[in-house]
Amino acid sequence: MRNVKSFVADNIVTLIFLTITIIAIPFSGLSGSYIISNLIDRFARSSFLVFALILPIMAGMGINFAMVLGATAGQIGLIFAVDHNIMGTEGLILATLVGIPLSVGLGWFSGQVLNRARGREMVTGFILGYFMDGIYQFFGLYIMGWLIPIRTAQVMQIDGGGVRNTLALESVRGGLDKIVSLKVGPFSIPVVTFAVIAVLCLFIIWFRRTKLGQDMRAIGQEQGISHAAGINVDRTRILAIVISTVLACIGQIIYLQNLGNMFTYTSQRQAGYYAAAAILVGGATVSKASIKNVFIGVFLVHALYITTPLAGKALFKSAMVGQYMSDFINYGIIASALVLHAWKNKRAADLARAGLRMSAEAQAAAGGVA
Amino acid sequence: MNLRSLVVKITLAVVYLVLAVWAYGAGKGYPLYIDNTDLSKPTMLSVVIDGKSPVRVREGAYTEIMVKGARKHTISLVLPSGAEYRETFRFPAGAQAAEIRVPELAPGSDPVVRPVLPRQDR
Repeated sequence: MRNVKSFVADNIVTLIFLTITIIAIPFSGLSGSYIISNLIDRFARSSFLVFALILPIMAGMGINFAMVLGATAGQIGLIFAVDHNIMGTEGLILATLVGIPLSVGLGWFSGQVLNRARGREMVTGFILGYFMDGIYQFFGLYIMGWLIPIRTAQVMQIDGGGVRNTLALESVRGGLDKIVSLKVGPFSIPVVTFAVIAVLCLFIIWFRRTKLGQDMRAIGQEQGISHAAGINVDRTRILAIVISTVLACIGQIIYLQNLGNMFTYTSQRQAGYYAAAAILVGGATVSKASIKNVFIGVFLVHALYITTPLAGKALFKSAMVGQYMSDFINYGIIASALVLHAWKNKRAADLARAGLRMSAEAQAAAGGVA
Repeated sequence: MNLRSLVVKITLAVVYLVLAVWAYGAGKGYPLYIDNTDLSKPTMLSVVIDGKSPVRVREGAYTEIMVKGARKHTISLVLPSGAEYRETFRFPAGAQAAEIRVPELAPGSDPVVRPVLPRQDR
């Protein structure tokens, strides 16, 4: 009984999501093959992005909301590729090559800031994302088209200044997904995209065993002891954020090539919220995350995205309510997961304090008797 | 920084640059105009370039198709005469855009590909 209780307590967020999804499936009226086909597509689209959050969690920095900076770098790479008419896989490679140096720089900057905001990394990362939004908008709306020429009419705003609010990524659409697409019954499987995700999984497994990976885990558990053991804590934390930002950059490029269009000034923000929701729904906490959490989270969040709008429409006779319901549940879950984590931490600290007090009192009592 | 580390960094930078140059060159898209403006025998056409999805070219109009890289491409369509046409052509090196006129296509002969200015620059 205690095991069941502890399992439910540890996986409460995942279980709530699973229950809502199971309830929503029959109400949505969608066929099993439609849901699976959509899940495969969405899984290929967004798994990479969620993996970007693992390393900072491992290093004790919580959910890296500053991954938005990496996603922004990826989008800048894509704007460059589309504006120069670089098509297909080559366009994605070029976008990645442009995005990586930018994301390394932004990741380093982000790491420096987060090191100065120790203990408040998540809220600082969140605000950093907004800060970057401002700079990105300034860059996209004023610098592009003025200092950096825009070559293609489809990229430029109609009034001639800056990048359009919505960009069609037709030239690079499916640049990764369509290299090898395997048809299994009614399902189309993007083999190369899944291979890239598998390589990333292997990288994370390997990385955890390296010296740097071990250092990150040690820092995640106790920074003071890690420092005393000779680990360069600040440098290791910056590296965790840099790798996360680079992965977010590549993840955003993979995500957008699958979608085929880009909301130039908002897509990066959605990437951050989505990835955080997915990893938390998958059962990760702000201090512990694994590959399993990514897969479960992506699967559940997308199952919810596919089914709840239609289930809501059927239940409330309004498509809008259905859509709001899906967003409400999704972001409500992020908030609940963070509150639950804070509550668990406080409870653990209270219990530890009470335990210490009791043992001190017992020792004092024993001393008094003696 | 020791010599080995410097060599590794320089090699990585060179590979990075070579990859970027390759991606830019091999993936560069060029507009190819299929000109169907000759109205002596108006026919709507369906043109396939490099085995991709067919593109419709209305009678009396031209259509822009983006081709990837200044290299060999294949074009296939059913000519207004009813004959099937499938040939390869090389995109003219150095050209920003090119044009193929449908009336000039004859079965068994390579298409005439003329370098032109992109329509937006004309």
